[in-house]
This record gives sequence, structure tokens and C-alpha cells, in this order.
Amino acid sequence: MDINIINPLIVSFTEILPQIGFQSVERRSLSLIGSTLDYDGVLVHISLVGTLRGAILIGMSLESAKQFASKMMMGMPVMEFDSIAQSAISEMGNMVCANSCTQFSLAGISGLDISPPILLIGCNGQATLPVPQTIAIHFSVDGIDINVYVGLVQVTI
Amino acid sequence: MSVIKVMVKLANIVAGVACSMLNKKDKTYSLRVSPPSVFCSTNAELVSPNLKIQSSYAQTTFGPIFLGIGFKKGLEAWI
Repeated sequence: MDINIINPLIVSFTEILPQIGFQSVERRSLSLIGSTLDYDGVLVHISLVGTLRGAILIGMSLESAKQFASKMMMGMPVMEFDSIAQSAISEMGNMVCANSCTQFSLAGISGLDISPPILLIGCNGQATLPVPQTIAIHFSVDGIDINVYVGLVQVTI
Repeated sequence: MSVIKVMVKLANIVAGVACSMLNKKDKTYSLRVSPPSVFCSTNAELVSPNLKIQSSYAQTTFGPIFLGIGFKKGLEAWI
């Protein structure tokens, strides 16, 4: 997988999050993993179809997800990860991935579509993506740790 | 791992055939199947806030199986 494929997503992440109430978005680390990854907490899954196919996953712990949803809702306390908090997190995933399609289009990769976001909540889970390699990006957003997993392959139609 | 691959293939075949049938019914749907991802966990919750899912449960020789179908309206067909 071409490492440059993640650039539009990073641009989208750093552009969208300040618009929904976050002050700092820092990229901490980058790593290349296989198709299988472990998760604990919340994972937002969005599929991509078009000339790029695969999935984008946004993962965080349950506590981080509550803090994140609270910030998105102007500081409203979030005690339980209820339907409003779930909706907030999945909307963030939807906004980031939709904007990344625009960024991909600016980079010359057009005609991409995203699926509605699916939220997976659980502990000690394992996710297997439909690609041989996945790029994991660790972000710190206002002190909240977020992992973004990008598993995309370019196809010729 | 091979069990996961079998499940991936099964899901891909089912979704692919359903997608072809729907596209034949109405070409404006232009449905596309995304490559399947697999999630394994002993106690997990799956939520999709924007989707209304029609659930089907079935009993097979190998145990229960669940099929959830949900569509979200995309761009309006105007032609």
C-alpha cells in the first residue's frame, strides 16, 4: 500500500476536528500493521468504494469516547455512552471520511463513496480488514488518544 | 483464520448477489458492495445510528445465524 494514500485522511482529520470544537490535533505516531487489529472500547467503521476500496476505522477507549462526545456537545457531561454520544461519535467519523473523499478528489482520486458509519462497542475485540496491510495513525486530540486505521487498496476499473 | 475467510466469502457472495438483483430491478440504485470486514468479540455491541436495520434470525445445523439489512438513502435520482 502506498503510504501517501493516508495524506488526504490526515488533512481531513486536522481540518474537521477544529470545526467541531477541538483545539489541538496532534499526530503522534505512524505504524504499519497487518490486516488484523485488536480493539478495546469503541471503533467506528466506514467502508470506501470506488477506485479506492477498503475501510477506515477510528478507535478509542470507552472513556475517551465519552470525553470526545462531551466536547462535541459543548461540554455537556456524558456519564454513559448512550445513543446521543454514539450518534456524536459516528457523525464525527462520517464527517471526517466524507471530507477525506473531497481531499482524495483534490489529489486526483475521484468517484469515491462511503458507507454509513457502524459503531462497534466492546472489549478485547479483533477486527480483520479486507486488505493485506493497514496503516495505524495515533492522534492526540485535546489530550484524547485516538487511533485511526487505514486499510485501502487502489483498484483499476 | 480460515474460518474467518470462509465467513468473509459467504458474506461477499450473499451481498454481491443481492446487490446485482437490486441493480437489475432499478438501474438508478447503482449499488456497490464494499469489501467485507470481520469483527470478533465475546461481548460486543454493534450500532449504526443512521440506519434502520431489518433483522432476520435463522437456525442452521451449525448454530444460529443473523442477517441484518439496512439501507440509507443516497443521492436522489432525478432523471
